[in-house]
Amino acid sequence: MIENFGSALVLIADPTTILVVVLAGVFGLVIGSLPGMTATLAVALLVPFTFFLDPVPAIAAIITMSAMAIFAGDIPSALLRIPGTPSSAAYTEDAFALTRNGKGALGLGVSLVSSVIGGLFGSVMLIFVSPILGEFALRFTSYEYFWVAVLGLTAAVIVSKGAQLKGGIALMAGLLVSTVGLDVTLGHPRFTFGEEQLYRGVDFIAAMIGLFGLSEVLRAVTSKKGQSLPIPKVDGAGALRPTFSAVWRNKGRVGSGSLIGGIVGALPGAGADIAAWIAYAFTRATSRIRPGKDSADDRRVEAISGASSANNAGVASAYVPTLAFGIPGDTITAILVGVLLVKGITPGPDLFLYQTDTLYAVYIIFIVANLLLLPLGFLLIRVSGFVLRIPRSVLMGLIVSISICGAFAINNGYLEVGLMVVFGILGYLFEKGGIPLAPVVLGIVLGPIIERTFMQSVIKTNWNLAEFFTRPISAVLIVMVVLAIASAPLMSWLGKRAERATALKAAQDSAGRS
Amino acid sequence: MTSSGTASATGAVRGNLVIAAASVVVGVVVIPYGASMPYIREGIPGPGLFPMMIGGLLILFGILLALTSLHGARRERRHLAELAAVHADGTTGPEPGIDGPTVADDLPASEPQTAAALASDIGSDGIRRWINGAVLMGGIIFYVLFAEILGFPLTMALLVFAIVWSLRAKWWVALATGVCASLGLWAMFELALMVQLPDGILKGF
Repeated sequence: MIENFGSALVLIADPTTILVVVLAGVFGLVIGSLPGMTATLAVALLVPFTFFLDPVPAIAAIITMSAMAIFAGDIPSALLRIPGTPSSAAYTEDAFALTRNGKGALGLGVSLVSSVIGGLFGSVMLIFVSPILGEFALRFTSYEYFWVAVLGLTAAVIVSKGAQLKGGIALMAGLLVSTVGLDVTLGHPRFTFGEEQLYRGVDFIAAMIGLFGLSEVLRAVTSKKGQSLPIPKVDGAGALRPTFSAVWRNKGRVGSGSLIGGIVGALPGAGADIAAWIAYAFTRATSRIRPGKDSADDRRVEAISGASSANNAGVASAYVPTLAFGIPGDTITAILVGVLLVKGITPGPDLFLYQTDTLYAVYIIFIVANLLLLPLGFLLIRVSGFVLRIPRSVLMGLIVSISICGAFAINNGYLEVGLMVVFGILGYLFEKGGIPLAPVVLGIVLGPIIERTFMQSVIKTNWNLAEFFTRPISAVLIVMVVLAIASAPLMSWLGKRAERATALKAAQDSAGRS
Repeated sequence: MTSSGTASATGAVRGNLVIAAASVVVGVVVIPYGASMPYIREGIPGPGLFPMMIGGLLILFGILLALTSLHGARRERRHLAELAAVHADGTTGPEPGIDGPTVADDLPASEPQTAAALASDIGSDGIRRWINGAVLMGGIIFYVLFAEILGFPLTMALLVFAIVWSLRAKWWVALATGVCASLGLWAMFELALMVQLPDGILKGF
C-alpha cells in the first residue's frame, strides 16, 4: 500500500499536473461562483483540454474543478441570493440573510471551512469504502455488470428530483443516441442515415459540450430582461478567527453533515444537492439553539455548517460507485467515466488490480484538491465582488469560442461541430421543458455497456433469460434496483415536501415580521 | 403572486403534454425502424432489439407523463392556495422578493432564480431575443462555412465579436474579446496542443 502511494505521488508531483490542478481550481472557482454556470458546464468546457493530457492530470483537473465549483456556488448565494450551483440552494436564504446582517464574510468563511472538512471526510470515505466494493465487483460476470449498469440507469431517474417521468424520457433519449453507429452483434449501421462518419457513433465529448455549454449560451442570449441586482460588499479581512471559532462551535454539525453527505453522495444518483437538502433539514430539525431574535444568526451559521459540509462530502463519495463498478453516480462522474474510457482506463474492479497507481493518484488528488480549496477559497471570498462583475456578454462569447474549438479538436472535423450544435439545441429545448439533462448523459455513457453485457449474456446462454435472475450477486443487485426505483418517488416526495415547507415558512416569517 | 403562480403551473402542464406527445411520436417512429433491422435468426432480434425497447419505453413514459402532470397540477394549486392564505394573514402583505422558492411543477427551486440572474445582465425584450439567438446560431454556421477560407483567427474573432456585440456590450469590449479569444485559442490549440486549425488566407503563422 505504501509503495503504491509512493508511485502515485510521483505521478502527481509532476509539474504539469500541479499546474493543471491549480489552473483547473481557479477555473472551477470562477465558473462556480457565476450564477447559472454549473460545475457540469465547467467540466464540459474542460473536457476537450483533458483530451490532450495524460490520464492522471486529466482526472486531477476534473476532480479539483468540481470540488472548487461546489464551494464557489455558495458565493452568489450569499451575495445575490442566487445559488451558483444547485447544491447551494438549500441554504441560500440563510447565507443571504447573514450578508444582510453584515456577517457575509463569516457566513462564507464557515461554509468554506465546512466544505473543506466535508470534502476531506468524503475523500477518506472514498479511500476506505471503494476497495471493499471493488473486491466484491471482481466476482462480476456480464450478468452482474448488466444489473450494475441498470442500477446506474435507475440512478438517472432518482437524479431527476420531482420529474421522474421526464427523467425517464431524457434517459431514453440518451440511450437512443448511444445506439447510433455500428451495432455490437452484427455490425449493422443504426441511425446513421448513410453518413459513414457516424458509424463510430455520436462523439461523447461533442454531445457534452453541446448539452451543457452551447445550450447554456442559447438560453442566456434569449433570456428575458430582468432587473440588475446590486452586489453587496463583503469585507474578507480579519474574518479568519471568528470563522474558525464558529466552525469549532458547530463541530458536531459539520460532523453530522459530512456523514450524511458521505452516505447520500455514495448512493448512485443521489449526488451533492440532495445531500445538502437532507443535511440542512437534519441540522435544522435537531438544532439545540433556542429560537429568538438574537440567536437567529447563530442558527443560520449552524445550518450552513451542516449543509455546506454535506455537499462537498457528497462530491467525493459520489466517486465510490464510479471507481468500484465503473457506474457513474452523477453528471460529473458520468463525464469522467467518458474521459477515462477515451484514455483507455476502464473504471471498475480492474482499477484495483492492475492500475493501482492511478487509483491511489485519484485518492491523493482528492485530499490535495480539498486542502487547496482553503487558501484559494479565502482568496475568492476577498475578490468575489470583482468576479461577479465580469460582463456576462464577454463570458458568452468566450464559451462559444471554446466550445467550437473543443468540438473541432476532437477529430479535426466539422461533423463534431455540427453534433455540438444539434445537442446544444436539444439541451436548450430540454431545459425549457424542465427535462433534466443528467439522465441523457448517463444514457449515452451506460447505453453501450448495457447493450453489450446483455447481448453477451443472452448469446452465451442461448437466450436463457433465467440466468439473469438466478445468480446470487445478481439477485442482490436486482433488489437494489427495485429499491432504487421504489425510493425515487419517496425521495422526490420528501424533497418536494421539504422545499414547500421552507417556502411556506419563509412566507410566514415575512408575514410575521411586517 | 397567486395568479402568476397558477398561470405558470398551467403553462407547465401544457409543456408537459407537448413533451409527452413528442416522446410518443419518437417512440412510434423508432419501433418500426428497429424492427426493419436484420435478425440474428428467426424470431431473435439483434441490432433492432434495443431501439425497439427504447421506443416502447418512450411511448410508455410519454403516456404516463401526460396523465401525472394533469394530476400534479391540481396538487400544486392547493399548495399555492395555502401560501396565499398565509400572505393574506400578514397585515401589510409580504415584502417583494421574500416569497421563498415557490416553483411550478417540476423545476428544482434554484432554476427560476438562476434564470433571473442571467437575465439581469444580458436579457432583452421581444424580437431582440430572437435576433440574439439568430446571431449565435448564424454565427456558428458562418464559422463552419468560412473558417477554411478566411482562416481560424479572423473567423473566430468575427464570430465572438458578433455575439458579444449583440448582447449590448460596448463595441471596443466586443472587439477586444473577439481578438483576445481567437488569438488565445489559436495559441493554445495550434502551439500548445498541436491541433491543426484552419489557416485560410492567413498562411505563414
